[in-house]
Parts: sequence; structure tokens; C-alpha cells
Amino acid sequence: MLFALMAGRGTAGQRSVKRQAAGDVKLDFRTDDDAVFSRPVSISHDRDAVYVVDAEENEIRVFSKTGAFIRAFGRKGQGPGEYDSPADLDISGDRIFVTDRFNKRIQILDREGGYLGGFRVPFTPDQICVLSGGLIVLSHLPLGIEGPEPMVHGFSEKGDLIWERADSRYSGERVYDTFRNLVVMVKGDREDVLVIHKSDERRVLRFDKGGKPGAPIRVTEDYASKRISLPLRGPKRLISAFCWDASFDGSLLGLLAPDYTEENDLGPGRTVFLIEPDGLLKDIIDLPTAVTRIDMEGDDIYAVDSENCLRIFRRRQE
Amino acid sequence: MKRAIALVLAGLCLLSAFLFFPQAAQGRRPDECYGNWNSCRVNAFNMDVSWFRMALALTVCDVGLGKCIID
Repeated sequence: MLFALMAGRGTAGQRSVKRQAAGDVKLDFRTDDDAVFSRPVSISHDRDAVYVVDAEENEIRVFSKTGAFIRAFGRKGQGPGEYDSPADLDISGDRIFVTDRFNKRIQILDREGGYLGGFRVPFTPDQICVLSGGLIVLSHLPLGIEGPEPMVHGFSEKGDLIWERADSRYSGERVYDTFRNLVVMVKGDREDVLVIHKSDERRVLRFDKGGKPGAPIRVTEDYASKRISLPLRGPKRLISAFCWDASFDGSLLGLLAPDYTEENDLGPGRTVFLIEPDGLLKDIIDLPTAVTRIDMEGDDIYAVDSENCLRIFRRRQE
Repeated sequence: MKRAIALVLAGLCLLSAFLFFPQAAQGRRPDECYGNWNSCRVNAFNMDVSWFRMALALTVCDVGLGKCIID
């Protein structure tokens, strides 16, 4: 195992902020075909394994927490255990819940990928969080054709819609609206979900099982948004990029910050900012490479790098 | 005389546009157009490319939607 650890200290607000480097736990992923994906869109873990959803291959690959390939399941299609661009998964008990985007349905699987059931939804589902009591919270990217529409939906396991929240932003300019309505949804620590806009919003929204909004996390300005002018039709518009991806572990929200490229564009970054429940910055983790997806568990960060390869990083507390 | 011809031509243009767009939209099933557009933009942001490139990709999707509806 290789660790690179550099610790520094700074201050944010009145608290001390640690800056740490994380190193690769395993280095030979790149030579392992199972750990290189076509279009990885989601990475998650449970007590035993790490799961990566590949939207192009229409499959889910399962790895041990040290990165050993265990199994893959799924293929393109419309039948049970088949997918059309799966987008995300969540694990609850011994069941895996997968959003099957263009089939507009949720599939429920056992841990080996065996089909147990599912239900259809009236939109293309994106991210999924399964809360206790079988409440399934889904996000979707709104079409933005006729005005604002809810982006977060609570369903029962039988597929009954229970509540809808988080109205989308609507300006009539579809590309602009698409950017502003991109969200990351993660499971919180209060039987709730956190909804993080990727741009133009520094508040992290919270909704409990009943859909009741909680106090949002107002993220400190010590975590800076990055502004970019996008080539949109109509008037020039600046967008404040907030995060590329996010993960929640314990009580900390990890925000993967985008980085400026040499062309002054914004691409995936290599720094994770840990935010406390009150919105203040706790730690900063420098990864050895840019990543597009993160999933935190204690000192480990499961990730997919910008070359679509699985990575597992570990940091050390001082 | 010239003014009358110009008015007639402008009227014909407006009439043809008025007649053309509803027929085209009905002919190509806007639902399919929006479905293809949604697939296009989902693929665009699934690629995890930089934001400028994604904006270009989304704009291409948007132009495709407009063309699909008009055709």
C-alpha cells in the first residue's frame, strides 16, 4: 500500500482546518479490465463491497473494499435484470435498488443481482436513496419545457408516489436550466436526503422521510464556488460551479470541487472538502488525481478517476 | 404596385410559416423529439466532460430538438 501524507493547517471561520493528502490503496487497477469502465455514473458501498454503475455497459460491477473484482450483473434490455442506462443504486439491508433510467423504472435486486421486483415511474429517474421504512427517494433531471417541476420524489416500495419536492429552476433557456438543475443527492444521517446543486446554489437542501424540508446546510464561503462563462445562446451567462460530485459519511458532507483546466474550462477536480453539519469547513483532502465520482467511508474514498478507472484512496488522521 | 407585391409576399411567407409549423410538429410526434433530446442531454452529462464541452454538447442536443420539431 502506498500512502502519501502531507498535513497542513489553516483556519476557516474560527476552526482549524486540516489539509491532508490521500494515497492509492491499490495501484494496479489500470491493468485490470474489470476496473476500467465505459461510462461510470455512480459509485457506492455497503458493509462488504463497492458497487460501480456503468451506464453504457448497462451493468453493475461489484468489488471488494480492497479493489478485487467480485462479480458483474446486468445487460441491455427491458426485462428483469436488464437496463437501459442505469444511473445509480442504493443498498438497503440485503437488497439493491437501481434506477433504470430510460426504462423509467426502479429495479430491486438481491446482493447477487437476482431480480426481486420493482416499479415504474413517470420520469427518467436519476439518483436514488432508500430510507428506513422502505421510503425510496428519487431525483430526476427536469425537462424544463413548461415551467418549474419537482426534482425529488418520495415513493413507497410498491411504487406509490408519496411526496414531491425541490422545484427546478426555469428560465426558458434549456441548456442554462439543465446546468442549474443538475443535482447530487446523498443519504444524510437523520433518515433524510441531502440535495446538492452542482451550480448556482450554496445551500444544501434536506428532506426527511415525509418530505418535510429540514434546515439547509449553508456552506461556508471558505469553500469557494468557481465561476465560468458558458457558450449559451442568448445573453452571456456566468455560472457558479459548486461541486462535481458529493458524498456523505458520518456527519460530514464531502464536496468534490471542480478544477479549472488550462483552457479556463471547468473539469473534474482532485480536492475533496469536508463540510460539517453547520456548513463550516472541517478538512481538505488532496487526491493524487482528478476524479469524477466519490464515495467516502471513514478514511477511505472510493472513486472513479477521469480515465474511468476505479481508484481507492486512503487518508490518515493526524 | 411594388408595395402591394411586397405585402402579398410577406403575407404568403407568414401564412406558409403558420401552416408549416403545426403540421410539422404533428407529423414528427413531439414526444419522440423530446425523448431523443432527453437521451441526448443525459448522454452529454454522463460523459463527465468539462463544462464548456458539456454546454456545447447540450446545445447540439437543443438544436437537434428544434430541428426534430420543425422537420
